Amino acid sequence: MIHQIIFAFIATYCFGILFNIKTRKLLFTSLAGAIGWATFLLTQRLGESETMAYFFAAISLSVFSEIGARYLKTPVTSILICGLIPLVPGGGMYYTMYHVIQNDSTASFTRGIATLSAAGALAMGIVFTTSMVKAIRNFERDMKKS
Amino acid sequence: MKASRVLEVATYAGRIILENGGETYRVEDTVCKICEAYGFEAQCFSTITGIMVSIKCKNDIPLSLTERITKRTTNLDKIHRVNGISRETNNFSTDELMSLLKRIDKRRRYSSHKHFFAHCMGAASFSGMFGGTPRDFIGAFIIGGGIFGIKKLADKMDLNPYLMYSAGGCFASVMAFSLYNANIISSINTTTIGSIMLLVPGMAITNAIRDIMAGDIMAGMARGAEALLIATCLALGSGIALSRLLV
Repeated sequence: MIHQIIFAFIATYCFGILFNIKTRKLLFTSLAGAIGWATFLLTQRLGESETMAYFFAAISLSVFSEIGARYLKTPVTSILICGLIPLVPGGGMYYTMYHVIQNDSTASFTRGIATLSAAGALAMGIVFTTSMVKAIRNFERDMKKS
Repeated sequence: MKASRVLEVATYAGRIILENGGETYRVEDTVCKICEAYGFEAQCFSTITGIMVSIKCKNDIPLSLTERITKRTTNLDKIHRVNGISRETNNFSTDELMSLLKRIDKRRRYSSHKHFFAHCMGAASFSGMFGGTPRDFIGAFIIGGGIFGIKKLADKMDLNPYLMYSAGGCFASVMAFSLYNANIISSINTTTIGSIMLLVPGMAITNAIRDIMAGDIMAGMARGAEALLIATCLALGSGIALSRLLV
């Protein structure tokens, strides 16, 4: 499991180069990728379903991205986009097609649903964190005013 | 301060962000922020293919500018830099801001060698991440280099991007199949998945979510459709190749 997380770190680092991220941000985005993948593996090991694992991974990843972006004074996207790449269900897409060409429509359907819900879970995780951060910031501003 | 000059500078900043993979709400925010810093009231509307800005001059005559975006890449460094100077607009005159933006736009990417190595190493690490053996690692390393070649070639030929994704998926599975038969890799699936991870629409997905969250539903939907189309092309490309080879 440890070596899978290290591979996630390296893979995100390489993607950072493709997306032209520079200096310390490259390190942070790689860390974000590793944290996302580590959460995914850990949650799955704790017996949660794959979809829930994607959801929690997206939350931990975007919380780290928000904190990192504050710290480095950069848009959240420049850390989040690359960190999300290891979690994109490329394997699910591939297996859906793989079962289609083997004429196994039941397996392909199951895989397709799992892939779609993985994408949905990722989206929900990011949405959840972003809106929570926004709510907290608004709350702080209101507190300062009064 | 001339209104037309402010309009030009603000739209240029928006254009850089949009062309390099920023969210549309960030484009609208930045353009309005720059105009307001020079004392003009501005309205901006942007989709993923264009920006429209209009500002009100001192004598209440509206002035507007439309820019069409045709090419889009991903260069997060430029977004970071434009975002940085848009916060300090007050310190610069319009001409200074324009020259700063031009300098940002001219900044170079990482060299081709680094891109090549990043493709190889990225594909290899992804296959390791999905539980591949060291032999799969080597196989994906080779295929990643090939995908870099396909991207470069498609760029030179001005190929439709969706066709490029299909070609990439096709190449990945054909290569994985031949490497498997040559007894270099131990699993076709892990190697192929590792390689096609280089082409998945990660940026389109993230930006679609963030745009919809910011209330920009039209741009978000467009990006979501783009992501779905890319994913389908990719899966189709690798699927078609496998169906010819495996049967």
